[in-house]
Amino acid sequence: MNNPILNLSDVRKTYLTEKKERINALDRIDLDIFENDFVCILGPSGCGKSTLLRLVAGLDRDYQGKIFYKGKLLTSSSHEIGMVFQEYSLLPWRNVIDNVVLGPEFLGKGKRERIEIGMQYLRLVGLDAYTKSYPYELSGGMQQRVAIARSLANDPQILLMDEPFGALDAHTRILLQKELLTIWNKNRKTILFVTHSVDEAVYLSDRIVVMSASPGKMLADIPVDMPRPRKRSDPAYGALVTKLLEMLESEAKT
Amino acid sequence: MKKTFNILIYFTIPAIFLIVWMYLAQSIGNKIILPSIEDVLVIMSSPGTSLIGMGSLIDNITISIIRVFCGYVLAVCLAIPLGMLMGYSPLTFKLFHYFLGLFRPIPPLAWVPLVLAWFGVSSLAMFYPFESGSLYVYLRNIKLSMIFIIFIGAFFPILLSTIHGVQGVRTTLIESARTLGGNEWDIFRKILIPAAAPSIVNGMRIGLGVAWMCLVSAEMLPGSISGVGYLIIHAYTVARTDVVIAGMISIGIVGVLLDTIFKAVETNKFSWQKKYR
Ligand SMILES: Nc1ncnc2c1ncn2[C@@H]1O[C@H](COP(=O)(O)OP(=O)(O)OP(=O)(O)O)[C@@H](O)[C@H]1O
Ligand SMILES: [Mg+2]
Repeated sequence: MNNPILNLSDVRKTYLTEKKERINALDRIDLDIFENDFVCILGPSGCGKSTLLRLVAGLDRDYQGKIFYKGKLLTSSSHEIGMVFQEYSLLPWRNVIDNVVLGPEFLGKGKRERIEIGMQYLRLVGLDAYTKSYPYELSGGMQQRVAIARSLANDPQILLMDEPFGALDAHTRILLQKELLTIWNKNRKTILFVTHSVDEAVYLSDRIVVMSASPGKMLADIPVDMPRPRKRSDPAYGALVTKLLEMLESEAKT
Repeated sequence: MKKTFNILIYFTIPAIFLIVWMYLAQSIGNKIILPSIEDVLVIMSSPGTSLIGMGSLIDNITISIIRVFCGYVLAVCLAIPLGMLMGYSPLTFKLFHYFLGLFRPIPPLAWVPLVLAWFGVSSLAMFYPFESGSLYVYLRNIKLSMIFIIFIGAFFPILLSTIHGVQGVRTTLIESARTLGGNEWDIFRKILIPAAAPSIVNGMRIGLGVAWMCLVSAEMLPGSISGVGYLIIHAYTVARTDVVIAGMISIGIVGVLLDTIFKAVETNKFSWQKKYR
């Protein structure tokens, strides 16, 4: 087997609250992520999913344990590890295209090249008609698509996605899931996708990492080898969903 | 129809005000207590003519604006960088916040004795190499003490809204820029400044208003021989209430004009902020 693109070994994270209480957000996380994989992290609210992604994104360096990216110790955020946030993160004073080209702009690419890249990814998410619109003129789902295009425009090696469809209605959500798989098929990024929806995890990923809350730790690591596109009516699909739900439920009881 | 109604709405209160003024002026019949509207209008309508031997209204307003401008620019140049630092770095915030907080409640006028002790009647002419020429005479009109008072007035509103603006920038915006490969300087320039700009400009607007209001107190300082503030005080001592009122109206008009400029910038540049959820 080839080397993992991302390796977490014995990662722990405790938060100190304002009242000086310690919260074990992550406990003994050991995880290998391989290139081109679509991995979902599934867990109940508050189990430390966002915390884990923030560590991998290099946004929080206050933790124990080690995180390796391509064999090197991760020390800061970089344009090679992109992130789509749980909450809306577009710059409200920039229009859609100017938001999408932010990454290439930071990398010092010229204006023409930037716009070209930006348009390419806006087309990919189907929003090339909204180039000059402002974020507040878009619906929540459209904003999230722009945010995805913005991350992709940087051509990251790993794309971290923190419940990107969490705030959307069921219908839009399914549409965007399909769209995301199409995009992923086209350029095969490594994707680390956080969700608390069992269905979403089974529909999307090659592998599901199940987490449990307080302290947040890994419960199971389940490969999903059903062919895509997956059908929700498929018995194997239903069986896996049931299995995962039971796993989460029994954990919630204890 | 709607339009005429709107215009009527705007003009009702001013019209009532003017009628009451006219009526009162007539029934009091004493120019020193309340001059008639016509007396004031005569002065306002020929702002270029010299008044009670102190130069014209226009001359005095110009010198006042230059003074305010000097103190204001100084305040902007210090308050914005300091405010950005204090808003961004908790350490700098702790370092300055409590200390500066002690000075904030002190009214600018309360600085007068200290300011006079420090600067006396020295003016910007101090920094001018020659002791003659029209520029020298002009610079001599801009006392350091005045600049200081105006500076104090403008400094705190600008500082506080800059800090507030920077602290209010959502961390998600900063962090998303970080994951896109932005370095600290990128984040400062492309995230913090534009995100905090509406608040900063709002502070600049309030600061300019306060600076303009500090003008009269600054121009009451010894050594002052011009400016609208001085004109008003001097006109009072020679019982020319009509000049006092004309001066006051000029101060009001200039204040409104300055504010309008800022308002225009705010509505033009920062329309995103209102619709932002
Ligand atoms: N800045 C912080 N200070 C203190 N505690 C925190 C902080 N951020 C998160 N926590 C705690 O860490 C735990 C994990 O939080 P996290 O945001 O990672 O959960 P999550 O799995 O992403 O939840 P959700 O699905 O609701 O987004 C929670 O118990 C939370 O209270
Ligand atoms: Mg979360």
